[in-house]
Amino acid sequence: MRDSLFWFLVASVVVSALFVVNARHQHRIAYLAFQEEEVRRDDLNDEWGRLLIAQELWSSPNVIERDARERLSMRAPKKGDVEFVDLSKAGREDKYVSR
Amino acid sequence: MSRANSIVQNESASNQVAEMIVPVSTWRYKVVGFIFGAMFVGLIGRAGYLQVVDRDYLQSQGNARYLRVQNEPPTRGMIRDRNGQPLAISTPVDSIWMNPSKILEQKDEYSYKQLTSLLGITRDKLMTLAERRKAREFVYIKRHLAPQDAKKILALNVPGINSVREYKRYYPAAQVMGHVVGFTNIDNEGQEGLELAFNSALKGRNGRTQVLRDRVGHVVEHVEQLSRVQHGADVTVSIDARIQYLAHRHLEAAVKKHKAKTASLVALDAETGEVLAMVSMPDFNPNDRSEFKSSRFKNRSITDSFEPGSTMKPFTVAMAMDAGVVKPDTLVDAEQGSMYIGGSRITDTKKMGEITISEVIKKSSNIGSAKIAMMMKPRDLYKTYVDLGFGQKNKLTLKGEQRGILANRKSWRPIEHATMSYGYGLSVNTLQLARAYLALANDGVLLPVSLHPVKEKPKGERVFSKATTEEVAKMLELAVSDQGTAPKARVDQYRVGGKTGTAHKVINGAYQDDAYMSLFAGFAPISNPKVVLVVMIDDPRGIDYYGGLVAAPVFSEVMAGALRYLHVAPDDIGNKRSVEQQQKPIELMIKRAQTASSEDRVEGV
Repeated sequence: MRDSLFWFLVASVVVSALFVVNARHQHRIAYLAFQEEEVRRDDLNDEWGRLLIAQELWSSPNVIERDARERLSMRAPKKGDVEFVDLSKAGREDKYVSR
Repeated sequence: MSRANSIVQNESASNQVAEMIVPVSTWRYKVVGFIFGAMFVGLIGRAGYLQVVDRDYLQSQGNARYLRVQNEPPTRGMIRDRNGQPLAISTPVDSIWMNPSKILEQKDEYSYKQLTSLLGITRDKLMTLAERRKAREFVYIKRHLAPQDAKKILALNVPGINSVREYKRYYPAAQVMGHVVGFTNIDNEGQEGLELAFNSALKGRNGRTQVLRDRVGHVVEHVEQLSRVQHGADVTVSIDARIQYLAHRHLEAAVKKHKAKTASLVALDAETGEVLAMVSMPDFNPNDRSEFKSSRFKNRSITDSFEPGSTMKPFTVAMAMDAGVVKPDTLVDAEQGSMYIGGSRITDTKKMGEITISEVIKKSSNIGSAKIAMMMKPRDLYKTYVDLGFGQKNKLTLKGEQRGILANRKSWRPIEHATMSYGYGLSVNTLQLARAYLALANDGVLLPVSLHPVKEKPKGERVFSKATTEEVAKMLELAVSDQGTAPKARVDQYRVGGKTGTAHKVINGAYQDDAYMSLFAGFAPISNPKVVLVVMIDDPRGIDYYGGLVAAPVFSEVMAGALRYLHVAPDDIGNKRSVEQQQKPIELMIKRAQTASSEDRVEGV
């Protein structure tokens, strides 16, 4: 009886030791994967930042102004060119459509 | 036979035994056994000693060699405008570092030719740097390289040369936002503006992990995570980048056109007190460190105080109307262009005679304003100015904010009382002036100003009654009419109100005859004010220096854009004023300006 308990305990120790080894190994693998994902996240964040900067560069008011003027031949309307429509007074839009 | 055999056998056996028991001494065995035994015991003892007694020391030594705390740097948060547009972004860069002793060690083997050419330094320089810092293991050679350039350097595979990932701040709005956003130093610590004010929040916290490393530096095992990395938080400002850009462009153009020294502009949301734009000239590009001079960093809208001049007259009038002393159509005698108070002479730009209170604002009469002030006690004027926030800081979280000067006196000389009513004898900054005008625009309630979006409309403090501010707003509208001092401030299709100011500058304690501050303060649309705008242009050196000619056009352009961006509906449709009509009074103003006497000490328009 005592003998069998002894051997059972010995076997348990060995088995649990193997489990520890396995758990450590799994942890290492999982941690590596985790780190890789973290690196990926940081890279994506960095890229996002770069894209934001690019967007800001292309959409900065002076770039748009220049492109509108030079490439699309646009200009800001002069004071006399702007027709203001008072919807609160007119109420009906069709009055202005005919013009 | 068998017996004989056995005897023989016996004999031979006894012969053998006799041979075996040749007395060989056994002490050698004992000695050897003892020595080995002692060595074994010694080793066991030593092992026990190391494991039990010396354990802590050895463990710490081992840890010191292989256990490392790995820092994970946080990325700095973004700064965004009220519409989410980024104003400051961190972008990854690589910094090249070396191990100096290694570089020196192998200096005969390597020419470092490619390395130095890629780094843009000479071999001698690299060597002197290594020599000087050889006690260290980590020395930066070149910081903040573009990742692809750093890759080229690392591809050379020079032992002792490594790179480290860092983040560099990039400011898309460049000089347009320089003063508000500020900048960081090379180590990503905020130095000016919001970068400094919110440094700790933007910065985040390092993540720290304890790791085991092998001889080459590879991480073998993660022992413990000491703290998780906390990336920096984003900071949102109340500024509208579109209005800011517009304001910057027009203010810059005005500074150039009028050869002014400095200038500043503040736009506030009239309903919430949020700062919509804050521009200061001269400016600087936060992306370009070579432009960094402290005189350029100054956010003049909060650091530079000046005498507000005639822009204070609306407050004098509002105060008098609240006190019930005058009504908009009450007549005051503005005399014949000059008047003596005590021994001092105060003047107007022209003879006005009897005028109404409205006309005091419309025509900007110093004498009229002084006479209105004289109907009340000097202390009342002082108290109203205190209530309007003059002489106090606005606590905008930006560094360097100045309080301005608003002196309380035991006794007020009549001339001090008179000049204070039209903006001399106190000093304010652009933000303070804008905030005071906000009280006029917001039905007489003064709101706190904020650089951050305000969710709920703050409870302000009432300074003037609603009826009074409505009347004053009408007077301010008259001031931008064709007969007023600043028709150039008008915005097409909107009702605009505002007041010009032209104050003599004080240099070394004396008013200068030929140095002015050109001001315009106002708001729009008058029917339900949405934007308060103050423009200050310091020392315009062209032929024009009057607020109505220098600052008012900037006001008009920026206000028009701001109202459009904020989707404010026009409240003056159909009342078109032709461009020709607008120009006539300007010519008149130039004539006035040229004939105006400049000999007088105190003057305001």
